[in-house]
Amino acid sequence: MRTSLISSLSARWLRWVPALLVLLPAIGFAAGRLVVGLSLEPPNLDPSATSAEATQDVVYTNIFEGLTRIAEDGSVQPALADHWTISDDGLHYRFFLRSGIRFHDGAVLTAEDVRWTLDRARQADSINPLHGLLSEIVAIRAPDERTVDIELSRPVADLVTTLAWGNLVIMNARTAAQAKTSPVGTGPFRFTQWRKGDSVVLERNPNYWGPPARLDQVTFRVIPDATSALASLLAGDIDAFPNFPAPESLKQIEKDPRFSVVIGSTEGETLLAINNARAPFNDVRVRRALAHAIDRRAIIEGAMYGYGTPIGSHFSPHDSAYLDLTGKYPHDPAKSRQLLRDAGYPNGVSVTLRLPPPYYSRRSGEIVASQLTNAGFQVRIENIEWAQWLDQVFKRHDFDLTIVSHTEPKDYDIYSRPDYYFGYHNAQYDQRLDLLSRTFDPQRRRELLQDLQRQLADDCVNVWLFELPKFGVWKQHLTGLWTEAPVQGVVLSAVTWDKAVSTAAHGSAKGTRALGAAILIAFMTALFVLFRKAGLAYVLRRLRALLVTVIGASIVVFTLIQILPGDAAAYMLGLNASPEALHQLQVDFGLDAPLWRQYWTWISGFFVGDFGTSYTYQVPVAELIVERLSLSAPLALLSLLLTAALAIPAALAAAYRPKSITDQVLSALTQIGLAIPNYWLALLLVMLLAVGLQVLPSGGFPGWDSGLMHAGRYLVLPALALALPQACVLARILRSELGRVLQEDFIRTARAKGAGPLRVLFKHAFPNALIPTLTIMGLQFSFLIAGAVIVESIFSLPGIGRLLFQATAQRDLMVMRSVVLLLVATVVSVNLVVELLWALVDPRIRQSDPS
Amino acid sequence: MNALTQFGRGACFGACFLTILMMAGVIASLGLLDDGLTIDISRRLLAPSSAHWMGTDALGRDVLSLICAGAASSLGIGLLAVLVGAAVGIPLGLVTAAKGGLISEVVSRGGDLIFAFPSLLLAVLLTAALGPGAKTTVLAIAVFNVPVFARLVRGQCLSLMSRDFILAARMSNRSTAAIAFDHLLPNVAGLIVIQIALQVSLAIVAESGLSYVGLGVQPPFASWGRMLADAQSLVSVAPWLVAFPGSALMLAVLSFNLIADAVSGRWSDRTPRLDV
Repeated sequence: MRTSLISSLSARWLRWVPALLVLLPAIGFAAGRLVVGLSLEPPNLDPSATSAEATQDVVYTNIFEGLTRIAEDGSVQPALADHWTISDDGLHYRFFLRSGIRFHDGAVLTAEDVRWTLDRARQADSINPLHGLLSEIVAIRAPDERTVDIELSRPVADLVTTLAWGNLVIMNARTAAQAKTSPVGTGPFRFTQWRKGDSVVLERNPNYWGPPARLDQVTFRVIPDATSALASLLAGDIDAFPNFPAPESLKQIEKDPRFSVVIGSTEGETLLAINNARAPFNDVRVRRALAHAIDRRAIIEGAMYGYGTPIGSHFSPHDSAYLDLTGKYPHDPAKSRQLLRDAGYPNGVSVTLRLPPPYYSRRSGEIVASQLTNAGFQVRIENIEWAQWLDQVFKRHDFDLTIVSHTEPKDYDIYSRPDYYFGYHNAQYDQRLDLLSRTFDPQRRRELLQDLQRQLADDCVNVWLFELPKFGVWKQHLTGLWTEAPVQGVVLSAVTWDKAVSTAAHGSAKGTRALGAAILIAFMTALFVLFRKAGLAYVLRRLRALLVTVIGASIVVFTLIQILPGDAAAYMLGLNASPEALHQLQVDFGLDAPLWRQYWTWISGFFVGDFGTSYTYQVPVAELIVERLSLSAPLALLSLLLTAALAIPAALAAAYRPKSITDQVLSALTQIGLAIPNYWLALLLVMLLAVGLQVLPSGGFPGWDSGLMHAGRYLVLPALALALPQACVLARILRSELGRVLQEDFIRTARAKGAGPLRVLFKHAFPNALIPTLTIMGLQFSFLIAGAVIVESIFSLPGIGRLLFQATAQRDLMVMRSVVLLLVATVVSVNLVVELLWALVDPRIRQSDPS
Repeated sequence: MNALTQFGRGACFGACFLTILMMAGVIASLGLLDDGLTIDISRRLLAPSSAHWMGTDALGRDVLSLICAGAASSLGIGLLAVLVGAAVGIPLGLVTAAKGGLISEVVSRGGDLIFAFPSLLLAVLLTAALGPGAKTTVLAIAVFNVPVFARLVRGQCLSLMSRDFILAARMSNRSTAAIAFDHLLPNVAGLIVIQIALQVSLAIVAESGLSYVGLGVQPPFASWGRMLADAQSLVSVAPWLVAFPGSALMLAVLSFNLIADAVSGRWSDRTPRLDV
């Protein structure tokens, strides 16, 4: 009876297998393709709504273009406007657009589009990060199709440069609203597809107004982890990293003839920022004590492996007006202690150093802390996420010291902003800056810029550490990528292969919903079958418990998320956010509604399948979840199958002759297997099979519609890393359960009746050991689907765990709360299914009341 | 008998290794290894030698000293988290078994909720709310240990409740609390000890995992998980940075498991098995 039930059940399951194996043809291979690695995923693709560098990396001059653009040498070049005139009083600008420019959707670019874009950016409720720089504009007019007039209230020296920056690219009023998810621009590439958490795909725009792009297709792949970045490069999965996140690996990559390592510079002043408004740092002597404590050479050597130019003020070394002020406060711990004594702190000063996630910050932080300790400071390090950093440090100015890189070009104006996080105020600095914005004479500007640098260094506002280098790493045969980064962006228009050698794996995909849906349907059907078989009253009782847990979880999740510092609006607007823009975005997100209403909107939507819209991605959360489940569910199932396939034979073999050599060896092996953390195993597997032998891909996921076998290969290593430790757990439990069952009376009876050892084991002992096995496998399935975050990030897989992790870091609470609740519901449902399975397997449970 | 000596040997190894680790942790906590723990760029990434038995890391710290200091965090946090979890979970389990009713329902549902909650997410949320550090790590791990002990104790005690000696205690009008602590607790003490050993081994893995993703103990305090995370991109340059902390972690977990096995083997030989 028992076995027939199980087999009828598995027959029902099997019926769904063809639905799971949706086989779609693999796409053809074309030359002129490129896979670019990015460390961070863009929150969205609308550069007018976010200052995220990753967004600029994808769209700047690739999809969207401005009136002007920044070239690799930092100069301003014509783009959509082929020339412009400036009136003698500096108040009237006239831009002339090129003719024949079309947006990707075929619409013709007109002066009206330019007016609309710039007017939108300068409106009072604009969330454009450059909003503040447009305040001198009085009016924008489009007298004809191809002429744009801009009128200013007073002369602004760098307006043409400002218009070249990525946040002021020109959009079309009709398509601007969709830019967050499917941008329509005028650039040499057009948007094809965005697989959230994995990649953004662009293709060549055949109707481009300028010289056409040389590449047919470009895929930006998100590799958040430094180790995965190295592994995927060595395994050939990625063609180019414009900003490679691990300087320690550069020496190794340089030795590899397949790759070029190109070190350039960025506009990133990396600084030990000081809270000038907070005691004791409001005393310049204490700030100077900090400066004397720091040894820039050791930091550049230790944290950046020798790459990076030391700087002594907030100014880029490759600017012609740069002044080397690094000698102003030489490394001298004794001098630091002396300055602290003078300032009235003979026993030193206690400081907290808050470090955001980028590698340069965390790594420099440890060295800075040890240097400060040598100079009489007591330092406490706090590693925090970006969302926390933006909230605590940037917004609420709740910090002593922090380390961060300011990558915006020519951003010395931040020192005159009234409420900036440095807490620095100097009327003379503000005056000089004001004078600078009205000065057009190059020599005079140069003097003023040098005065600004000197003044910042005199006041020792911050301790400037080094100019952040740009580590470009790409395949030998690739040419045209920028060495320098005078502006945020990965400019691809001139990039080409010497030969068609891109071997990196690709996948373009459309709608992989079928798979997720098939899994959901299979799950629901299984539930239904079980309900029918296990008795209504029993099922209802368990369902009530399930509902109570899920509702309890919803309240806990909602409350926990409410008390978190930081919010999605601050995360998206980043370092340039103005308070008005922030407030506007919060209102747009509905964050100003009363809490009970927010809860009700969410929970009432949740139960009808409406999970809301993700703040950062701007797509329905349900869509994100289905997309991620199409990876996570098959991965969990595959791991579970592997687990069972390894564990069950091992346990049976061990139990066949208790205390035999086999039993003891298996016991020792599983004991060791239990003790190996899965991330360590994952790492060793990648090093051996992906980087060493190159038989399997090191990470990433091309999507199911690149072919089942092709995509499946990408899941082998992660499944193995997940399954091995789980198999050890399962094998040990099954083995000990078999041992227990084998001592029971009915086994003795079976043996007495002449049943052989194999028959006893398979026919009598194994079915009785199934209940604990099922329980454990249920728990393992839950763990595999929700707890695979670390393995997902080692293999750069866009799974549900990473979605949650990322949403938390970005404070995308729409995603967070629904995913958490869904995972809780899944775990509870799996437990329920397991319990019902017991009831099926063992009628004794059905009859007695377990609670 | 054969099995017993085998378990004995394993447990002996486990106990010895853990003792050494604990001593190493104490030595490191007393500041005796501070020289090796100081950042010194001039001696970084040295291969194992007589001066540095396990080599040095990317910041010039001695790996052996770091492992000793990491032992203090790993064992300390693991033990503390499990003890906190047990201290809350055991009374909850006893009370719900002895009393039943609404309390029992609430505690069971609470347990379901915690078991169903993605553990890493809770750690992330706690870190975001309370700031990172050892206290947050202990709390995050302890929370998941509460229902483990509550369920274990409740399950075992429920089957004891129908035994004659409990009936006798009830008839002599003893209070629920007295029954729970005087009659039930001693009968489940053995199981609790085993579970503590197993949970500590899990807690050590959890601690290293949290440190690995940057949520655990913060620098300058050493942690095996963070050592592994830092070492990853250096694996081909300095394989010792991956091998030694990983092995230390594996051996520590193995030791606790071996001890748990040995205790449960001995214990189940003497006491009649209780059916769940």
